[in-house]
Amino acid sequence: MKKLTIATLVLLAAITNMALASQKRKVLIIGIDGVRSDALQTANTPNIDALIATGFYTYDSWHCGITVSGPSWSTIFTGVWFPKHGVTDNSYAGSHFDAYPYYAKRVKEVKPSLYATQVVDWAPMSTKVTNDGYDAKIVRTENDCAAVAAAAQTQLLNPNLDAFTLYFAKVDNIGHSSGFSPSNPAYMAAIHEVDSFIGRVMTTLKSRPTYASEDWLVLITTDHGGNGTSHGGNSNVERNIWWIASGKDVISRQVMASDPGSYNMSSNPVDPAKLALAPVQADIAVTAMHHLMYDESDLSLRPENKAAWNLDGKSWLDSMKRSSPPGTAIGETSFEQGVKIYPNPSTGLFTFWFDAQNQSVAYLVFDEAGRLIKSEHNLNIDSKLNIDLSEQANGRYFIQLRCGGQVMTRKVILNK
Amino acid sequence: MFSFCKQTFGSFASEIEKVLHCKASKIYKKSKEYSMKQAYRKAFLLLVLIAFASRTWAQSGSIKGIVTGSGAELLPGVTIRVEQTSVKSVTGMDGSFELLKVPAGKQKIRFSYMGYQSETKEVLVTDKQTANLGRIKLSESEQLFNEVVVTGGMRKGSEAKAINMMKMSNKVITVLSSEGIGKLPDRNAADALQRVAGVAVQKNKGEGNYVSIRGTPTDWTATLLNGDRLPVADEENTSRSFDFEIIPSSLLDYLIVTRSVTPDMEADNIGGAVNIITQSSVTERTLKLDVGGGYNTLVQKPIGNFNFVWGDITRNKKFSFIADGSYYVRNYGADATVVAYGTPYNHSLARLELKDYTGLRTTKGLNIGTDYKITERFKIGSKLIYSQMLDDKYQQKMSYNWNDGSGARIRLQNIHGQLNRQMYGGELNSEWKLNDKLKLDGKVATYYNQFTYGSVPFSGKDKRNGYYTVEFISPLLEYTDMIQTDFQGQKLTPDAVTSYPYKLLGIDNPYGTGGDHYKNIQPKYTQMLDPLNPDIDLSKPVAPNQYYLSGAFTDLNTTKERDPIVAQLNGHYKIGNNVTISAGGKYRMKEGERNISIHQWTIAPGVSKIPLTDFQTTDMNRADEFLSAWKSPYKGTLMPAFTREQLGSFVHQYTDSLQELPMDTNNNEYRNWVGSQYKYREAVAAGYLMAEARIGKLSLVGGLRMEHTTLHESSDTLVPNNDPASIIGISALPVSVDRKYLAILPALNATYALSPNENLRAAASRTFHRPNFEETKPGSALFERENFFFIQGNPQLRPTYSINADLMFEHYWGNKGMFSLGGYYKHITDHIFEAASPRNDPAYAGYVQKTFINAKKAYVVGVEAVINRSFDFLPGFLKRFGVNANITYSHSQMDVPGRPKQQAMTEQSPLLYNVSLFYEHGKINTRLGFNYTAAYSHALNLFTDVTTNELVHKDTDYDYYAGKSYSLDYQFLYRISKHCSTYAEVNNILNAPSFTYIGRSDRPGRTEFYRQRVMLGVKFKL
Repeated sequence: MKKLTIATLVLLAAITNMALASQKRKVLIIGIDGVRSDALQTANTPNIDALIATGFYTYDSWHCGITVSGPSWSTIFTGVWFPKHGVTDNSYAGSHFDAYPYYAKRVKEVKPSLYATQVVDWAPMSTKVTNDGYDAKIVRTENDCAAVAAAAQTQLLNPNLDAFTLYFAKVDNIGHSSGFSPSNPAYMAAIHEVDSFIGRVMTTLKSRPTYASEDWLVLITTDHGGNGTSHGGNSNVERNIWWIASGKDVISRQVMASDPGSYNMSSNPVDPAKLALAPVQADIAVTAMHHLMYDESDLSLRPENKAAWNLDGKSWLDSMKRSSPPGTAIGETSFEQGVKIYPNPSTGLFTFWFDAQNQSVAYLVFDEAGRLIKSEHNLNIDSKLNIDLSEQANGRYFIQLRCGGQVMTRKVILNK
Repeated sequence: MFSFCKQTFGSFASEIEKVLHCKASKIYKKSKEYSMKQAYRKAFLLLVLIAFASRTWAQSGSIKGIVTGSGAELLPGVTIRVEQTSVKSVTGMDGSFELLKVPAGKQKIRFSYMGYQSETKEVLVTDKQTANLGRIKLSESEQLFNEVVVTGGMRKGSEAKAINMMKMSNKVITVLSSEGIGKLPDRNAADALQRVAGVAVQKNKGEGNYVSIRGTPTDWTATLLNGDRLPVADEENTSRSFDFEIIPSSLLDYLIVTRSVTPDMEADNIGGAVNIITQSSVTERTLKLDVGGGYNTLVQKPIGNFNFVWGDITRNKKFSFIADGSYYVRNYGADATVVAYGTPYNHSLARLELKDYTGLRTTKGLNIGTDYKITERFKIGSKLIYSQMLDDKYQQKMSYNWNDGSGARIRLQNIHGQLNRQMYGGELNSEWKLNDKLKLDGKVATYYNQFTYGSVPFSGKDKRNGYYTVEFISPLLEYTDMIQTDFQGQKLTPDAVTSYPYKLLGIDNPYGTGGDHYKNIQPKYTQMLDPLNPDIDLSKPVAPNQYYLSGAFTDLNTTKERDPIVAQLNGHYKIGNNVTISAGGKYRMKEGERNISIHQWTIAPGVSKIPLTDFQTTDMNRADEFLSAWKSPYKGTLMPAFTREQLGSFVHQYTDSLQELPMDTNNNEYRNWVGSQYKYREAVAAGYLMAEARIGKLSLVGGLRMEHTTLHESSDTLVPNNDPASIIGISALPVSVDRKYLAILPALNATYALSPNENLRAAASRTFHRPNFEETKPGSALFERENFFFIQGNPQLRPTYSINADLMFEHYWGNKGMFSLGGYYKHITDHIFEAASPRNDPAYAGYVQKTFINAKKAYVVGVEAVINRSFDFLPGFLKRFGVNANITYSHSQMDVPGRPKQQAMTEQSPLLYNVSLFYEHGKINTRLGFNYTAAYSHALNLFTDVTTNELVHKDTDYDYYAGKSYSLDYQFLYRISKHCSTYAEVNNILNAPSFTYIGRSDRPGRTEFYRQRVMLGVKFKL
């Protein structure tokens, strides 16, 4: 019976793959300016959460460059870091889009018929960028999420649309006005508002008459975090960002990674080995290019293989596609790296996210003095483990997780 | 309009009594059988008849004339008494008087005036005839003004005139004469006004510009030019407060500060009114010149001043004119810092701006007055005024940004603007005495005021001309002076996972140690690693060649206000000698507009970074001297700046590297600016009925005034459109608001003469304040980019009403001075205050949002004292000294929605005082003056938490304050001859800063230092 099931699944995957192969590959990139990774995890974002639930995502994207909008979005859309694209601030002075164009322009070198557009509400992303390959660039009035979403919905009704970039400035502006922090209600409300417009955009996308015959890869990301009412520095809260990929053939997985370092930090230089495994913002453009360029008859047609393009990013397409051949995914995450705790500190309930790979799970909770205060064994979980410490006194606790033969311990803080 | 009682105070009451007694007794004798009731009825009827007829029965005539000083100046407030009778009068503003009901026969008329020798004239009064005494000259009393008599030409009498006017007035006033103004180094009307009791003056680069009476908000003070409220148009100020900088003090004849109103005055004032009286006529040929030169010690550059007065009168004395002009040109400078705070949750610093201003200000003023007596009973006159102030201002700004959309950076700005203000207008007036009882006066005036930026950076009237800035930006920095706290700026708990690094002043450092002192805020940073320039020593300050061009822009501003028609008509009807009834009406139309915008030059796509060192630069002005009052804390760190030539040529030279970005509906940021244009039209129709009476020692003035206001105001708001041709997808939608309100404003003033030298005054009135146009503006918020403010109008705002009560005691030491002590109380409803908070509305993100709110109830209670005294009671040379001093202390409270406790009213300074010590002897006249205004709150931080909907700050620690201000000034005059004198002046001896702060005075906002201004000059008089 089990074997039959597996056989059925393999068959189904093959059919899906065939079906997808005949589908037109398209890309939607949604940028939300200035959303801290911890804020996204705490914020009330049902629409983004729905994409995360079935998507390939990371809360461990580390910024390797200048945590400022101009340079960051330039990296996100070109696939190269600022030493190449030349943008170091919001004046865009010194840009080299001639040598390092936007992803749509690169794809058009391979697929000249690509139709790409962009809707943003921060004008420099439109007026200061050349060589972007967009067939239309639309700017709406800054911070008007409704106008941006409405313009996006109009674009998404165009059956010829192949690549679409959508951008919301509002969250960053709120962060500048009153603080980039999960502690700032205004900032969290702005994230919630943008999420609601993303919901509308996704509904429109799915209502395309041709949607069933299309393979949309939706990439959502931010450019940087924030610290106080500012950003641009190298603190963790400015550098720690996130991205999400969602699509019909995209698997549900959280990518964990350690900090690969920064081109701006002498104390934390870029470690190429870590960078090769880390989901960073330069990868967005390259993954998008890969999806748009993908040619099953020529699997070597990958953006990274275009030596002249001199890209810094890497494609996660193979890692995120259900139909990808084995061994093509980037790295394999260890159990230790793969465990995520949220929230920490907590007022009682700690949630552990990890892939239990169908093995039974056990946990033990110790207090600071090393006394065992709680444990459970032989748990069967999917991807979330909730541990309730709300009856314990405030303080530090150590939680040991056991899964299969693997063991890891994390410190948590209870602050009721 | 201020006016003096010109009616005669005869023995009306006693005459009636006499006649009544006589007639009534006759009736009584004739008909004893009449009942008492009938008798009284008859008596009453007769009384009416008699009262009606009495004046025709009395054998009496009138006397008129005009009183002047020896220098031909007109003397208002001179008491004229018919000896052996109770008939008396007081001269009016034009020195003229008229005595009615003077018993026929030979009469002795006595003229008395403090500071002058009394005169007596004999005149024969004929029944029903008017005797004209012509011109009566009074000479200054030798007792005090000995030297004046000797040397003549100093117009010393003017000050005595002012004191006499105060004493004789029927309301609480202070008069500042041109002579008094000339005694201190006050170049403009506001600087002069700060010497008056209870007058506080705000300053702009060391020169007074806004006036507030009794420390109340500046826009509660009405500014009148010859009785008419003036239109206001200014670069930044959008209130109804007039900017006095534009009125050179030499154009003034008098400044009259009124603290209690009468119904014939415009009642749109709560603090009081300042009436600027320009010279209108002369009684003899006059020519005066004043030439001065000086030096500004901050910029070490010259100052020049030239004033003239020229007037003449025809031989038949029917026509006279006066023309006086002023030209004042001065170099000035200011060292300024601005500290901006980043978030509403703590006092962390977002930005430190170091601003070095240098500029050249030119003020030109011209006043022409004419007077034509067509007949003895009918005269017409005109007054024309033109005034212009051009401020050619350069600024070099270095700004450390801890919090910047482009990361931690230093920005360098090179700024130039020509601020051009023009005010002009005039009036035609006429006075018609129909008969002895009825007088009519009327006038029609028109005034125009406008602010524009001059021809920078383009010649002529290019639309893009404005306050022009070229900006450079540093590479990314990492500030090393941050203090790790929690989000609220409090101590981190040991278990805290996330910390927030903030730049904090020492007083706001939760750990108690470390943090900067406000006089020495030192940004500390290392450069951020730049992989493209790996050889840079990151520990070194950013070098000039590392700064690169980030763009240019001009702030645009055209502001106009005009009163195309101001018309008024007053009638005065005398009922006998003691009572005058006046009635009148006034109509004023006001139209105005304000247009704020920006024009930008951004870096064209693909243009490489252009370093600062590619341009012609020079050291920042006074690089070593900058902020020397704080021991030059930034010495050696200031970056080079553009030369003036480079700044002028920049936009012309670099057109290929720049992309022009006008501000219109195609601009992504138009949302910020859509509400920055507005227009308004206000019509005020007012009428009043007033009675003046003198009953023995008591004089009363009272009545009712009504002012009806209609306002139509329009601005724009933003709407999305579905026009495919629209680049941004928006349109500006005009919106407007119409308001109408009627103000009912009773007033009563009583003066009781306790003795010839002592007055007790009491006044009660209801006055009001119309909201400023920016405050009631409909549509989107107005953007004040330079100050990072969005200003959201509140069209529902109600006018502020105040019930005012005044009590005052005055004592006059004859010609040696005066003393007064008074108290006042104002019960205020709907005080308008400014609430500021970082705005949650994303349209205004990153900026402070201000709006205007009515405080339900507020009050201010205060005491004020004035003493002007020469030390003649002291021995020896000490008697040549004297003092002029005044003090106003007030206490105010207002309700603030959402705050548990009442707090002091905004814009209300609790303490004001002036002290000036003078020495006058022989040819020397010198004085040292000090004035002080205590700090007051300017705007409240009413930041509201989006989830709890409660104020985040329930105390005043996040409110915006104007700091205390003070100045010490010195003037020395030496009379060389009758025709010539010299003077020396030093202004701002203590180099007192002008500053604002947040919550407490050691948490600064803007601080400016100007240093001393020195003038030397010569005055000539024909």
